[in-house]
Amino acid sequence: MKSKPIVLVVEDDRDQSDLVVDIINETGLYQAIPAYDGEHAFSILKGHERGFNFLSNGIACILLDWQMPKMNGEVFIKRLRAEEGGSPFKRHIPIVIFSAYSDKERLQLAKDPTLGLASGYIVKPFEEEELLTLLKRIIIHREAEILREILIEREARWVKELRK
Amino acid sequence: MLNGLLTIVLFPLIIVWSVCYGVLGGIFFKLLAVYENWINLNRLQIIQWKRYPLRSYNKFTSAILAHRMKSKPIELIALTNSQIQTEFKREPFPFLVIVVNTLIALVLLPFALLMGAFQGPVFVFRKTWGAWQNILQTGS
Repeated sequence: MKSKPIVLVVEDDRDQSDLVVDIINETGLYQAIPAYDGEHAFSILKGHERGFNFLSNGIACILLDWQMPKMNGEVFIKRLRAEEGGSPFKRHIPIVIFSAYSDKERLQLAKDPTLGLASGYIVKPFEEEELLTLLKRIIIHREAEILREILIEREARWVKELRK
Repeated sequence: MLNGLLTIVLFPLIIVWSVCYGVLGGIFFKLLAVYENWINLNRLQIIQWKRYPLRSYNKFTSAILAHRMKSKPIELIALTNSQIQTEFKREPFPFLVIVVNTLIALVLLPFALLMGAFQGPVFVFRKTWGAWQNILQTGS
Protein backbone atom coordinates (compact mmCIF):
# COMPACT_ATOMS: atom_id res chain seq x y z
CA MET A 1 0.00 0.00 0.00
CA LYS A 2 1.30 3.43 -0.92
CA SER A 3 1.89 5.65 2.11
CA LYS A 4 0.17 9.01 2.32
CA PRO A 5 2.16 12.15 1.51
CA ILE A 6 3.43 13.76 4.69
CA VAL A 7 2.73 17.39 5.55
CA LEU A 8 4.90 18.96 8.23
CA VAL A 9 3.05 21.64 10.23
CA VAL A 10 5.55 24.01 11.84
CA GLU A 11 3.55 26.09 14.32
CA ASP A 12 4.46 27.13 17.84
CA ASP A 13 0.85 27.62 19.00
CA ARG A 14 -0.28 24.12 20.00
CA ASP A 15 -4.02 24.82 19.61
CA GLN A 16 -3.50 26.25 16.14
CA SER A 17 -1.19 23.40 15.25
CA ASP A 18 -3.67 20.73 16.44
CA LEU A 19 -6.40 22.39 14.44
CA VAL A 20 -4.37 22.40 11.23
CA VAL A 21 -3.14 18.84 11.80
CA ASP A 22 -6.75 17.67 12.33
CA ILE A 23 -7.96 19.43 9.19
CA ILE A 24 -5.25 17.77 7.13
CA ASN A 25 -5.59 14.30 8.65
CA GLU A 26 -9.37 14.33 8.30
CA THR A 27 -9.05 14.49 4.52
CA GLY A 28 -7.56 11.00 4.58
CA LEU A 29 -5.31 12.04 1.71
CA TYR A 30 -2.30 13.22 3.68
CA GLN A 31 -0.62 12.59 6.98
CA ALA A 32 0.18 15.69 9.04
CA ILE A 33 3.03 15.80 11.53
CA PRO A 34 3.30 18.71 13.98
CA ALA A 35 6.56 20.46 14.85
CA TYR A 36 6.42 23.12 17.54
CA ASP A 37 9.58 25.02 16.64
CA GLY A 38 12.18 25.25 13.90
CA GLU A 39 14.72 22.90 15.48
CA HIS A 40 12.04 20.28 16.06
CA ALA A 41 11.03 20.62 12.40
CA PHE A 42 14.62 20.14 11.25
CA SER A 43 14.98 16.99 13.32
CA ILE A 44 11.79 15.61 11.71
CA LEU A 45 13.09 16.54 8.26
CA LYS A 46 16.35 14.74 9.01
CA GLY A 47 14.37 11.64 9.88
CA HIS A 48 12.70 11.74 6.47
CA GLU A 49 15.83 12.03 4.35
CA ARG A 50 15.81 9.57 1.47
CA GLY A 51 18.63 7.81 -0.33
CA PHE A 52 21.63 9.33 1.51
CA ASN A 53 19.86 12.69 1.14
CA PHE A 54 20.55 12.57 -2.61
CA LEU A 55 16.84 12.09 -3.25
CA SER A 56 14.11 14.57 -2.40
CA ASN A 57 12.94 14.56 1.21
CA GLY A 58 10.07 12.32 2.28
CA ILE A 59 8.11 15.34 3.49
CA ALA A 60 5.77 16.41 0.69
CA CYS A 61 5.01 19.91 1.97
CA ILE A 62 5.75 22.20 4.91
CA LEU A 63 3.18 24.55 6.41
CA LEU A 64 5.22 27.21 8.10
CA ASP A 65 4.09 29.75 10.67
CA TRP A 66 5.91 32.99 9.93
CA GLN A 67 6.10 34.29 13.45
CA MET A 68 7.61 31.84 15.86
CA PRO A 69 9.58 32.83 18.95
CA LYS A 70 12.65 30.55 18.74
CA MET A 71 13.26 30.47 15.02
CA ASN A 72 11.04 32.64 12.86
CA GLY A 73 9.79 31.64 9.42
CA GLU A 74 12.37 33.69 7.56
CA VAL A 75 15.31 32.09 9.36
CA PHE A 76 13.75 28.65 8.97
CA ILE A 77 13.11 28.95 5.25
CA LYS A 78 16.59 30.34 4.52
CA ARG A 79 18.30 27.64 6.56
CA LEU A 80 16.22 24.92 4.92
CA ARG A 81 17.01 26.13 1.40
CA ALA A 82 20.69 26.47 2.30
CA GLU A 83 20.73 22.90 3.61
CA GLU A 84 18.89 21.62 0.56
CA GLY A 85 21.36 23.58 -1.58
CA GLY A 86 23.33 21.34 -3.86
CA SER A 87 21.80 20.47 -7.16
CA PRO A 88 19.72 23.14 -8.87
CA PHE A 89 17.67 20.29 -10.38
CA LYS A 90 16.75 18.72 -7.06
CA ARG A 91 13.14 19.08 -6.01
CA HIS A 92 12.96 21.37 -3.01
CA ILE A 93 10.34 20.82 -0.36
CA PRO A 94 7.41 23.12 -1.13
CA ILE A 95 6.59 25.56 1.66
CA VAL A 96 3.35 27.32 2.43
CA ILE A 97 3.75 30.25 4.78
CA PHE A 98 0.85 30.99 7.03
CA SER A 99 0.68 34.05 9.15
CA ALA A 100 -1.60 36.76 10.45
CA TYR A 101 -0.25 39.35 8.06
CA SER A 102 -0.82 43.01 8.37
CA ASP A 103 -0.41 44.93 5.13
CA LYS A 104 2.92 46.21 6.41
CA GLU A 105 4.22 42.70 7.00
CA ARG A 106 2.95 41.54 3.64
CA LEU A 107 4.70 44.44 1.95
CA GLN A 108 7.93 43.58 3.71
CA LEU A 109 7.62 39.95 2.69
CA ALA A 110 6.76 40.84 -0.90
CA LYS A 111 10.00 42.79 -1.16
CA ASP A 112 11.99 40.07 0.54
CA PRO A 113 13.55 37.49 -1.78
CA THR A 114 12.57 34.90 0.85
CA LEU A 115 9.09 34.95 -0.63
CA GLY A 116 10.51 33.41 -3.76
CA LEU A 117 11.44 30.39 -1.69
CA ALA A 118 7.81 29.59 -0.83
CA SER A 119 5.01 28.24 -2.98
CA GLY A 120 2.18 30.05 -1.32
CA TYR A 121 0.96 31.86 1.71
CA ILE A 122 -2.24 31.80 3.66
CA VAL A 123 -3.48 34.61 5.81
CA LYS A 124 -4.78 33.70 9.26
CA PRO A 125 -7.61 33.13 9.99
CA PHE A 126 -8.00 30.96 6.92
CA GLU A 127 -10.75 28.83 5.45
CA GLU A 128 -10.28 25.09 5.56
CA GLU A 129 -11.09 24.95 1.86
CA GLU A 130 -8.33 27.44 1.02
CA LEU A 131 -5.71 25.34 2.80
CA LEU A 132 -6.85 22.06 1.27
CA THR A 133 -7.02 23.51 -2.25
CA LEU A 134 -3.46 24.77 -1.92
CA LEU A 135 -2.27 21.40 -0.59
CA LYS A 136 -4.02 19.61 -3.44
CA ARG A 137 -2.35 21.82 -6.03
CA ILE A 138 1.05 21.38 -4.43
CA ILE A 139 1.01 17.69 -3.48
CA ILE A 140 -1.42 15.99 -5.85
CA HIS A 141 -1.10 18.22 -8.92
CA ARG A 142 2.58 18.93 -8.25
CA GLU A 143 2.31 22.60 -9.14
CA ALA A 144 4.59 23.94 -6.38
CA GLU A 145 7.15 25.41 -8.76
CA ILE A 146 4.53 27.14 -10.91
CA LEU A 147 2.70 28.44 -7.84
CA ARG A 148 5.98 29.85 -6.58
CA GLU A 149 6.45 31.86 -9.79
CA ILE A 150 2.83 33.02 -9.72
CA LEU A 151 3.19 34.09 -6.09
CA ILE A 152 6.23 36.24 -6.86
CA GLU A 153 4.48 37.88 -9.82
CA ARG A 154 1.25 38.46 -7.87
CA GLU A 155 3.04 40.10 -4.97
CA ALA A 156 5.11 42.26 -7.30
CA ARG A 157 1.88 43.44 -8.96
CA TRP A 158 0.32 44.07 -5.57
CA VAL A 159 3.29 46.18 -4.44
CA LYS A 160 3.11 48.14 -7.71
CA GLU A 161 -0.59 48.84 -7.25
CA LEU A 162 -0.02 49.86 -3.65
CA ARG A 163 2.55 52.44 -4.74
CA LYS A 164 0.16 54.10 -7.22
CA MET B 1 37.05 1.90 29.57
CA LEU B 2 34.89 -0.74 27.89
CA ASN B 3 33.31 1.90 25.69
CA GLY B 4 36.73 3.14 24.58
CA LEU B 5 37.78 -0.39 23.73
CA LEU B 6 34.57 -1.00 21.81
CA THR B 7 35.09 2.25 19.88
CA ILE B 8 38.62 1.16 18.91
CA VAL B 9 37.28 -2.17 17.66
CA LEU B 10 34.27 -0.67 15.93
CA PHE B 11 36.02 2.22 14.20
CA PRO B 12 37.71 0.16 11.46
CA LEU B 13 34.50 -1.85 11.03
CA ILE B 14 32.54 1.36 10.56
CA ILE B 15 35.11 2.53 8.01
CA VAL B 16 34.83 -0.74 6.05
CA TRP B 17 31.03 -0.66 6.24
CA SER B 18 30.95 2.99 5.15
CA VAL B 19 33.16 2.32 2.14
CA CYS B 20 31.36 -0.86 1.02
CA TYR B 21 27.79 0.25 1.57
CA GLY B 22 28.51 3.93 0.90
CA VAL B 23 30.06 3.45 -2.53
CA LEU B 24 27.37 1.06 -3.77
CA GLY B 25 24.52 2.97 -2.15
CA GLY B 26 25.95 6.31 -3.25
CA ILE B 27 26.10 5.22 -6.89
CA PHE B 28 22.63 3.68 -6.76
CA PHE B 29 20.97 6.63 -5.06
CA LYS B 30 22.70 9.13 -7.33
CA LEU B 31 21.33 7.19 -10.29
CA LEU B 32 17.87 7.42 -8.75
CA ALA B 33 18.40 11.12 -7.99
CA VAL B 34 19.27 11.91 -11.60
CA TYR B 35 16.17 10.01 -12.72
CA GLU B 36 14.01 11.75 -10.10
CA ASN B 37 15.28 15.18 -11.13
CA TRP B 38 14.78 14.39 -14.80
CA ILE B 39 11.20 13.34 -14.10
CA ASN B 40 10.56 16.46 -11.99
CA LEU B 41 11.93 18.87 -14.59
CA ASN B 42 9.98 17.29 -17.44
CA ARG B 43 6.82 17.00 -15.41
CA LEU B 44 7.05 20.71 -14.62
CA GLN B 45 7.27 21.53 -18.34
CA ILE B 46 4.35 19.29 -19.21
CA ILE B 47 2.16 20.55 -16.35
CA GLN B 48 2.87 24.12 -17.38
CA TRP B 49 2.09 23.40 -21.02
CA LYS B 50 -1.06 21.46 -20.18
CA ARG B 51 -2.61 23.33 -17.26
CA TYR B 52 -1.25 26.84 -17.71
CA PRO B 53 -1.25 27.16 -21.51
CA LEU B 54 -1.41 30.95 -21.68
CA ARG B 55 1.38 31.39 -19.18
CA SER B 56 3.45 28.76 -20.93
CA TYR B 57 2.75 30.31 -24.34
CA ASN B 58 3.82 33.77 -23.13
CA LYS B 59 7.06 32.32 -21.80
CA PHE B 60 7.60 30.53 -25.09
CA THR B 61 7.12 33.65 -27.24
CA SER B 62 9.24 35.75 -24.87
CA ALA B 63 12.05 33.20 -25.13
CA ILE B 64 11.90 33.31 -28.95
CA LEU B 65 11.88 37.10 -28.93
CA ALA B 66 14.83 37.22 -26.55
CA HIS B 67 16.74 34.74 -28.70
CA ARG B 68 16.13 36.69 -31.92
CA MET B 69 16.98 40.01 -30.32
CA LYS B 70 20.24 38.60 -29.05
CA SER B 71 21.46 37.78 -32.51
CA LYS B 72 20.69 41.18 -34.06
CA PRO B 73 22.03 44.69 -33.55
CA ILE B 74 19.53 46.76 -31.62
CA GLU B 75 18.72 49.20 -34.47
CA LEU B 76 17.71 46.35 -36.78
CA ILE B 77 15.22 44.85 -34.42
CA ALA B 78 11.80 45.26 -35.86
CA LEU B 79 10.36 42.46 -33.87
CA THR B 80 7.72 42.72 -31.26
CA ASN B 81 6.04 40.13 -29.16
CA SER B 82 2.88 40.40 -31.26
CA GLN B 83 4.84 39.55 -34.41
CA ILE B 84 6.18 36.46 -32.73
CA GLN B 85 2.66 35.59 -31.65
CA THR B 86 1.43 35.92 -35.23
CA GLU B 87 4.20 33.65 -36.37
CA PHE B 88 3.63 31.06 -33.65
CA LYS B 89 -0.09 30.73 -33.09
CA ARG B 90 0.31 28.12 -30.41
CA GLU B 91 3.05 26.56 -28.38
CA PRO B 92 4.06 23.07 -29.50
CA PHE B 93 4.40 20.27 -26.98
CA PRO B 94 7.75 20.88 -25.24
CA PHE B 95 9.51 17.95 -26.93
CA LEU B 96 12.65 19.98 -27.46
CA VAL B 97 12.92 20.90 -23.77
CA ILE B 98 12.44 17.28 -22.79
CA VAL B 99 15.11 16.17 -25.25
CA VAL B 100 17.51 18.84 -23.95
CA ASN B 101 16.75 17.78 -20.35
CA THR B 102 17.45 14.19 -21.29
CA LEU B 103 20.76 15.08 -22.91
CA ILE B 104 21.81 17.14 -19.90
CA ALA B 105 20.85 14.28 -17.58
CA LEU B 106 22.90 11.84 -19.66
CA VAL B 107 25.92 14.15 -19.69
CA LEU B 108 25.67 14.73 -15.94
CA LEU B 109 25.04 11.09 -15.08
CA PRO B 110 28.66 9.83 -14.98
CA PHE B 111 29.73 12.82 -12.86
CA ALA B 112 26.76 12.30 -10.55
CA LEU B 113 27.65 8.63 -10.13
CA LEU B 114 31.24 9.54 -9.38
CA MET B 115 30.07 12.07 -6.79
CA GLY B 116 27.81 9.41 -5.31
CA ALA B 117 30.75 7.04 -4.96
CA PHE B 118 32.60 9.70 -2.94
CA GLN B 119 29.74 11.28 -1.01
CA GLY B 120 28.04 7.99 -0.14
CA PRO B 121 30.76 6.68 2.20
CA VAL B 122 30.97 10.09 3.92
CA PHE B 123 27.22 10.08 4.50
CA VAL B 124 27.20 6.50 5.82
CA PHE B 125 30.19 7.14 8.07
CA ARG B 126 28.62 10.26 9.60
CA LYS B 127 25.32 8.50 10.15
CA THR B 128 26.83 5.34 11.65
CA TRP B 129 29.39 7.19 13.75
CA GLY B 130 26.67 9.55 15.00
CA ALA B 131 24.47 6.60 15.92
CA TRP B 132 27.37 5.00 17.81
CA GLN B 133 28.06 8.23 19.69
CA ASN B 134 24.37 8.40 20.61
CA ILE B 135 24.49 4.86 21.95
CA LEU B 136 27.53 5.77 24.03
CA GLN B 137 25.86 8.90 25.38
CA THR B 138 22.62 7.19 26.31
CA GLY B 139 24.52 4.27 27.79
CA SER B 140 26.71 6.37 30.09
